[in-house]
Amino acid sequence: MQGVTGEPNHATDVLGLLFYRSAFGAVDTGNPDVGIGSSIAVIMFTLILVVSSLGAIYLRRREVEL
Amino acid sequence: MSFPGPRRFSYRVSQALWVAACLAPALMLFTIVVAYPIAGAMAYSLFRWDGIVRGGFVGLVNFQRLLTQYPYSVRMLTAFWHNVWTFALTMVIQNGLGLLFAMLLAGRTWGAKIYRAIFFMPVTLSLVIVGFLWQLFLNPVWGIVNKSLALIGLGGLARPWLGDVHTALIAITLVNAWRWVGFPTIVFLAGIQAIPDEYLEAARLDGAGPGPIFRRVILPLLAPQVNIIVILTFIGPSTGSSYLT
Repeated sequence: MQGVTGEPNHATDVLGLLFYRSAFGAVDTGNPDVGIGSSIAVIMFTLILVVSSLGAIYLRRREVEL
Repeated sequence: MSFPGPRRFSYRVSQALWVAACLAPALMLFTIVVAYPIAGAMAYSLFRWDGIVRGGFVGLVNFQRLLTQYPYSVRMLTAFWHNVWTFALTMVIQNGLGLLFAMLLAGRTWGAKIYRAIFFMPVTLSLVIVGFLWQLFLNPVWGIVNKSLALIGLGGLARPWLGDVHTALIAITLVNAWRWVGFPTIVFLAGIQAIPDEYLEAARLDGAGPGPIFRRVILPLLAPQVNIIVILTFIGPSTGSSYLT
């Protein structure tokens, strides 16, 4: 709905979109750069891994056995 | 397990070998199809790239550029905070509503089965249809949202939802929540229905009202479902920026 640049003025830009745009499209006027896109993906992976694990550990501790 | 012929390994070792032999095919498939591509894609970030042609190994230069060089560093920070904001809003609105709907549907609400189907319907709709539909709804000139606001005398609130810097992300998040609200509803509903009636009955006999029953009995027993939904919600907006394209 908002295009690949997260219009208007990057107001709807998210990491997944930025990743796609830098790897296969272009950030602003730059050239497509798979290296940059890949580093965004690695950072996203790490972020999701860490936060999900912390969340899972915290919530598992609150689970009660039936 | 007993093997024919002379016994060359102790029981424990042969057991371990047997397990390893059974796991090997699946492990091999997983390595080739899942683990290797993931590792390979991660390794891409350590190389220099000219368009789609891979250049030499450069180590962490790409990360350094991403976090310090002008367009990337600014965009990265904006995108990150949008992720956080989207996650928070989705948690509150989509999953809060999902829990509320699940509680209502689990009770003896009239037409619960029909509502269950209705809530889940947008989840089954194609992404393109949802996007197109809401683009029509949110049209600033003749969209149903702004027209309805004008009709009930709130014309002053009408704005170009998708074109305004301050409302675009919220509008997108709400559309996403509208589409996915059926999912937490179904998951929570299944969780609530799996809670044995004895617990609720015991709590009721002990004089607990609906509030304490929900907080002290249902919510702790719903923790596995909450766990799943929180993790999926966290992954969702970061990867599935699908509405934005």
